[in-house]
Amino acid sequence: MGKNRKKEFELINSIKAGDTSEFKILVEKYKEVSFSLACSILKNEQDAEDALQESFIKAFSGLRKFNFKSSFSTWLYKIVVNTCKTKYSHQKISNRCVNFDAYQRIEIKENNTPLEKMEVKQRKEAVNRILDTIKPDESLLLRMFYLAELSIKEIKEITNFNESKIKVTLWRARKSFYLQLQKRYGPEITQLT
Amino acid sequence: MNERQISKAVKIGVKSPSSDFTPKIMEKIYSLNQRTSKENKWFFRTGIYACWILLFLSIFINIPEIQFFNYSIGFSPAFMPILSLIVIFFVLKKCYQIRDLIRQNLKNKSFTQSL
Repeated sequence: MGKNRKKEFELINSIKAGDTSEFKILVEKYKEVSFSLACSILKNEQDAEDALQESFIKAFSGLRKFNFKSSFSTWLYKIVVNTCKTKYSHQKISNRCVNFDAYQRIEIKENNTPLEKMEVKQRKEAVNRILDTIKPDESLLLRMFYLAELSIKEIKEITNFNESKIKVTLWRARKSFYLQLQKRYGPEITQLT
Repeated sequence: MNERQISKAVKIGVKSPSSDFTPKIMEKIYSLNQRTSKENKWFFRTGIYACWILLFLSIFINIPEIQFFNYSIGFSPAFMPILSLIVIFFVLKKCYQIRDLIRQNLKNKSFTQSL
């Protein structure tokens, strides 16, 4: 067991023993990735935040049932994904499909090397626009694999997709992401990173 | 565009919830804890009253013989006191759980400060 994982398990044990304030550390640690995953499904930041709040409350209430068989992150992301999927199916979300063209184009000055000269904030916006445009499953798997750094096995546990579906969706997601980048920023896309 | 570049790009796009997200969550958890504590106290009081009533009644009440198809089931006069003792056992068990909860809450003095 890794040192970080051991520390996390100690932290969870301490929360289970009654030190509720320690839960704040877990919220701080996982809120950003969880929020990104929620946005992948719901495509709306307000709905994603509501779903995330609900997920953390569920995680806190169910922490006694957490048996340390998987990592805490896998367990939490599963709660987040399930909560968002329930919300997605029950609620009418007006901004479910984001039209790529609806976004205003980012002005790139002619003298600059495109994208390379972009501010970090602009890069972040550009990436999120693309991730919001591609299908929810594709964007979710991209974020799970690259942002949350989950293995195929862990993704399988969270989403209940089979392994081949995960691999195919990931391949499609990479392709869609690349094509959108290319469509938007031309051949200089590799300079984005 | 290779794997490493996609990974880097996706990481750039990490999103953050609103700045008051964590305090909101902790506040909700705090009120959830308070509610659980209140529910437990209510259960404790009701349980104790129920036990007293059951003990009192068990001295005077005997369950009559019950006819079940062709069989008759007779209850011993000790049946009701034993039943009430079982109920008392479960209520006491719950009392221990409440005591643990109170101890946990005492540990959490820092909790309200973290809000």
